[in-house]
Amino acid sequence: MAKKIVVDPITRIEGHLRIEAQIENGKIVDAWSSSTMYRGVERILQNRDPRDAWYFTQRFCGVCTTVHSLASIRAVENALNIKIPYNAEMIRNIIMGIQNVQDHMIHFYHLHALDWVDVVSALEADPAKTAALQQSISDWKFSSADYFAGVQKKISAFVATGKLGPFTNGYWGHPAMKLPAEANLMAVAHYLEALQVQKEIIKIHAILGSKNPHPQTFLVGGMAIPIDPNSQNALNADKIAQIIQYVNLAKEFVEQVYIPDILAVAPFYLDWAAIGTGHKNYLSYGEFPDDNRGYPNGFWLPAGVIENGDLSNVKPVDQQKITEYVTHSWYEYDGGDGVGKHPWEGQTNDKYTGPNPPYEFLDTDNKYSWVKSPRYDDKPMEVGPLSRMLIAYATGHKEVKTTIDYVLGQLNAGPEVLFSTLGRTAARAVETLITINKMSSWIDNLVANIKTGDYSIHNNEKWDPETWPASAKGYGWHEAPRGALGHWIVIDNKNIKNYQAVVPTTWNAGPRDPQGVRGQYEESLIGTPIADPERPLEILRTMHSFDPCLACAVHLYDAKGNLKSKAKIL
Amino acid sequence: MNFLGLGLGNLLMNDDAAGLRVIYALQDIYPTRPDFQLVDGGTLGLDLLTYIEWADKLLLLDAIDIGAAPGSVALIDGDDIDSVLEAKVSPHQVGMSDLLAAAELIDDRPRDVTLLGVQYASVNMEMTLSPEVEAALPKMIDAARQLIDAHLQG
Repeated sequence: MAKKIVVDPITRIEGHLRIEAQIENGKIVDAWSSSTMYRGVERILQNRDPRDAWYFTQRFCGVCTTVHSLASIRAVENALNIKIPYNAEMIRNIIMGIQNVQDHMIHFYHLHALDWVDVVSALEADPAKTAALQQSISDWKFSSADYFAGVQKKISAFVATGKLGPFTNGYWGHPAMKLPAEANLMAVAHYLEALQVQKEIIKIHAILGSKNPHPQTFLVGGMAIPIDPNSQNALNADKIAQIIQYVNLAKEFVEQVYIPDILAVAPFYLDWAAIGTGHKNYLSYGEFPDDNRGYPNGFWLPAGVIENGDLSNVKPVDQQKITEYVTHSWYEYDGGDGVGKHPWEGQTNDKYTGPNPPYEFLDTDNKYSWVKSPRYDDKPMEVGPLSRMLIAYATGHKEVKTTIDYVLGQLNAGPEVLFSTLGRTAARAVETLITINKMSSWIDNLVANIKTGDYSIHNNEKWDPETWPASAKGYGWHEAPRGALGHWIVIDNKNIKNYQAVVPTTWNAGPRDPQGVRGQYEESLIGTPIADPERPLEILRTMHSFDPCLACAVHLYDAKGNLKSKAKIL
Repeated sequence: MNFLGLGLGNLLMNDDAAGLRVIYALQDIYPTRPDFQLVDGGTLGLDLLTYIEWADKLLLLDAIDIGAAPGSVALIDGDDIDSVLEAKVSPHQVGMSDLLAAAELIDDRPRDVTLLGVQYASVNMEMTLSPEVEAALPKMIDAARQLIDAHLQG
């Protein structure tokens, strides 16, 4: 029997992604992904000074504040052909690296783990057996029976207050939850520990960015951080020592907790290595310029395109092949909605034609989302850690290959299992590990370069708009935690004429294209078993494996609450 | 006792920027001290946990929706704060209730949480406030100053 179900919203902590799924005989046979919030942030940038754009784009999103700054300054640097100093390149790498590490850690423990971990079951675990399990998987310092008994007590007390907070939407006791009680308790303890670790390690952004959230030191042409080993107000040895301390803290947690957790939990969920696949097309723009040629050369993680899961043929990325369709999105294009537009020609003209809320279902035959449909060479692409890791793996990247082969060996599986929900979650963990291990080399490179007496941090040759051409076009790419992020800019007469951002969640969450080809979320849900249509935990698992973030893809607004009685009107 | 004034909002979303406008005005009046900070929290995120765990007293400044007349300035405190935040009166990504729950889970929830809000008229992609909310800013700043002065003198 066919049944259509709706999951809305789908992100664990606030969000506006909605999935409609058609279920037949216990499996999903069709799916539609929609964002029900409007996005139109690009228009605010028109006619502004290109050098200021990053300050506005940083506010696109409250969750990933650095990534839009970087993409924006790179877009302007690309348009004006500016090469930034090596010091600035390394500092950007350190900022981006720790952002990816912190974001992946938060994603795994705070946005995704509760899809696999049953908090209620954790309350029934034996703390002594949990301690034995912990000690069997790593040398992590928090591993005593007393410690786990304390965690259990704290969670019981928290649940007893009735303020469930982050545990509100869990599907506790769901038949698809497979972990033993002790593994559940261990994971809940790590959930709490990760809260502590994430807030410490991101202090690197406060050191290098003057403040966090919303670091202030980005600058077209480099960074606005004075380097002077002898000044308290500049980047000096003390500050670098602090950064190293935070990197070491993150490294310890990733090596002794995050990776062992993945390896301990995955065997209970190996069926998810064949679920959530999608189109098997993967795109990465490449990231972390690792030598003195500077961006976009010498990437540590390579750029590339994989089509239809063919790891033997990684193609180079050609930005001209990127287009966005609005056939099924609530926008209209000059020249008709059936034709894709390259971001330089992109338009953000909203035209809502959906049903008036409240409604049961969207009109999925026509327009049904505020997200556009990006295509590469007219094909839907997945972006994110899995894409980056597959492209690196397929091109023989040493650390990626070694780590993935180790994980696959532990799970006794081949690379094909990576094309899945579990593969996405494992790839994110692998990327976290290799990135935190790579951080020290960027810090070393920076220190070594400063020691040669090179304190330069900003290239101001093109700072004065009088040095610019009458018109210029550029694009700025960044491999953000969630995947390939691109900003496209058109500069005319010293000002911004057009600005378009194609964000990672747009690639993954976009609706169908004019040919009716599904977006990656939609395709990845096909065939997913649903044990209980009233509690579609399986949909959440696959959606969360992509790390959806519509905070930047869309505008924010909430339903009205009738809370006037609680407030004192002044 | 550590006091944190935390402005929340998105600078690009007209009335949603009200809390940030208030925090910028307050930053011009009160210097930072070892036990006193005024922070532009943007649109939240777990990054803010580091500030929240530091605070004993937390004053949130935000645009809110409580169904009052646009520009109404409202104070919510005491036991009401949790039920109000749970219902997500303020239109942000990681709900404030999620952040306070996270702080509670690591034993660092501020003892005293107060929300000073202004009822918004519109939240659109614009860089100016609605006339109603713009006109209410002096009142909101004044109310915040009274709370801060009471704390600093107490």
